[in-house]
Amino acid sequence: MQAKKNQKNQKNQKNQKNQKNQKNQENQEETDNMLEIKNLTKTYKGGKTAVDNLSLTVRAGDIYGFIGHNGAGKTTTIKAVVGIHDFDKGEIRVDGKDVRTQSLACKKAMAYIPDNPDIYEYLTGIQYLNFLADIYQVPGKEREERIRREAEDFGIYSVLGDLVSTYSHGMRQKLALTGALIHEPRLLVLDEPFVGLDPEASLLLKRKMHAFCEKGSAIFFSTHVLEVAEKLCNRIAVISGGKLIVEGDTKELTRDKSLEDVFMEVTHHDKAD
Amino acid sequence: MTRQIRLLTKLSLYGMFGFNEFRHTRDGKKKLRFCLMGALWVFLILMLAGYVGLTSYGLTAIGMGYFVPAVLGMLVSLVTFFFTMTKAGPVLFDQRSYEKQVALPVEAKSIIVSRFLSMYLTDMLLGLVVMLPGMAVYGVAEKPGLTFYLYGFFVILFLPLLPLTAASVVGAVIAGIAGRWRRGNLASILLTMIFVCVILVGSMSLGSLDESQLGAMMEEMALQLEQQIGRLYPPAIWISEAMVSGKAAWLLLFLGVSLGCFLIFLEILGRFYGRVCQMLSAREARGNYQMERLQAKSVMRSLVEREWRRYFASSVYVVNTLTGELMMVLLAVGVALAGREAVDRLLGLPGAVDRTLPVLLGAMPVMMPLTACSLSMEGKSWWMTQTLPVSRRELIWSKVNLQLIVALPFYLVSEVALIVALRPGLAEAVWLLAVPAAYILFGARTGIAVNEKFPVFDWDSEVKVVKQGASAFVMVVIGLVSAAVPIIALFVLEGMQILVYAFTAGVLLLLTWLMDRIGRKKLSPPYRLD
Repeated sequence: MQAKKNQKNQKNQKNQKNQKNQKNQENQEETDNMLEIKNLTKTYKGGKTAVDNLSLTVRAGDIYGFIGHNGAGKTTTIKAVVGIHDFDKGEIRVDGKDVRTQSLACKKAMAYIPDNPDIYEYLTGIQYLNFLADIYQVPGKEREERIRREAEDFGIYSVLGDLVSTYSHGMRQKLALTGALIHEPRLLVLDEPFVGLDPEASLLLKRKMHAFCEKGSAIFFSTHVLEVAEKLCNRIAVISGGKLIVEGDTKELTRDKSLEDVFMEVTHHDKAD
Repeated sequence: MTRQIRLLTKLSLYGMFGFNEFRHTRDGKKKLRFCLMGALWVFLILMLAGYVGLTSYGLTAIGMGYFVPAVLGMLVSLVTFFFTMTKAGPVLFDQRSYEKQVALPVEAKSIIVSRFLSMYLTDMLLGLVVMLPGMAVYGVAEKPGLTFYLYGFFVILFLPLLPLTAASVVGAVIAGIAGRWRRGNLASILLTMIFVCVILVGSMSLGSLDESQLGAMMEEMALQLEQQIGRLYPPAIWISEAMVSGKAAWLLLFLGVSLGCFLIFLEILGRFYGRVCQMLSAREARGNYQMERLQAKSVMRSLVEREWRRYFASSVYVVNTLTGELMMVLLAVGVALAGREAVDRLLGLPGAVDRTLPVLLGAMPVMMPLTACSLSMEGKSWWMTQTLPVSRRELIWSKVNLQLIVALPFYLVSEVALIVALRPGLAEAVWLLAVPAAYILFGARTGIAVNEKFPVFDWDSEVKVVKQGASAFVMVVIGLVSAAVPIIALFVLEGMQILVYAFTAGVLLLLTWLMDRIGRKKLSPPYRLD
């Protein structure tokens, strides 16, 4: 009788352990999810549906490329993620937190750079970076080290004392990138990050993107340059007419084809439908 | 060239007042907002026309109808001069839009003329709103001949040219001088403020005619008025000579001088325009930065510092929003130095200072608080502010705090001057301090609330936000109403001054608190303005 009881107890304990493990695994997966978009729908005033029931997940360590035609809904999705646009349906979670109910926590966990970084022109470069460091509460010594390192890497250290209004487009892009890295975000959201950068800076950015994700953070970025996306991203999503048409591992998606071929195939197939 | 001018003017007019947006937007709410703004404009134009009509009637009633065109012409010219002076740099010499336009196959002269024309058209509208009611009242009262209306038509057409040219020269000179200094914007702000003070004091001196002479010495008074107008703006007398006396020579003199000055300026400017634009927009870049110790600050302090830098980076923004504070100091210093009666005469309201001084003081800065366009001034950088991890409340209060910091020295100077000069009793002193303070706080918070309703982020020139923005306009109306109600009450309810002061301050503070509470609930984070 006692043996039977022990057996039952052992079985129960095993079940509980299994359940716990399963739950931990699920939690682990959830905490690994840097960005989760579920059934996102955004309709603009006037009736145009820019994003239609879009779902995707960006995990820690991912360099996630988001590609599509002009007007496909990439920027709208990105703006919904970073808190610029509200949305009609769906859910967006950044590092496990809901962007609607825990907006400030989400914003603290990420950094965003738009395709045309219009930075506060009335500040000098260093004032801008120091302002960001204050807002994200980066301690004094750490901010000095990070600013020096990133600004020197991007080659803008010597102009940090000048007004942003004197910067070229590329320099602004570099300053925005420096500012985005100042608080070591968990998720970096970039809209066309390579536009306006010189070849050297592009190469540097690619290296930095890899290094950033190796530390366990993630990057979600849109681009039109398919060669870059193919080489850089481990995961890719293609959006057309606001709908996600393909999503997955870059290698699995392309196999023996180029990303360009895949893109043309899926987008034209979608239009034909 | 005419075609080029027409097309370029059309282009700049598209951006003005949001007509094009109204035409093409599918957003019903936006359309409704435009309609409401239109209705408000019509209301204000009618108010202005009514005021002009009454002033003209007053002048004709006391036998000084001769001065109606002169006074109104001078009023339009002064207002045109004042507004163009601050616009000259950012509109006429705007390098960015010049670069966009000069790449097109158009002549530099076409660009200049088109920019002048867009400013001219808005100024001419002001001329119409002011001159037409005055002419109508004079016409009914004095029954002048056809030449009065014919000459009046030409006067309205040419009236903005001279102040427009003079203000462009002054504006360009100020921008040029300021550009040579390291702190160019500050220099530009100071120089423009000095000019504003000169204009304000100059135009106020017109109202300080000795009323004891009224009736008994009408001729002497007319002479005094003629001399004062002549000193301040001689062409105004030419207008009266032409329209009232029907002297064609004076009309030709006015038209010739206006057009001549404009064409000479155009000719000179045409030769150096590109260089002037470049010179005025040139920014110093040193490229020799060495890192010093970076100080960590609190979020609020950092936000306020950013607001401070934004504010003083724009001379148009500062000059327009600081005028109220400046007028508050002028009023206080005027009362302290010249006495209550003298200021009463200036205001044209006998007993105004005695009865309504705290309200008058407070009403000045509330007309155009810097917060009324501080959200819009974020412009294309608005994405940055939206994505910062700061709450809506922090953002709003950083802007309100800046308004309070900016207003504080003006408030203190005004209060100290009045308390030292008037030596009020305790109760009077308390309300003299409390009512303007309540107005300043109310204006600062209301400005943000209004700007949240009428934000404009897509602009190329700060002028579009500061001078043409709906929120700035609505704020003037709110300021006028918030001042007019207690002033009327103070005149009607004699002997209940303290009660009216207390009620006014209480209502203003209550409204400020309510705005803060309701606004917080309605638009809790994420802070968006779709």
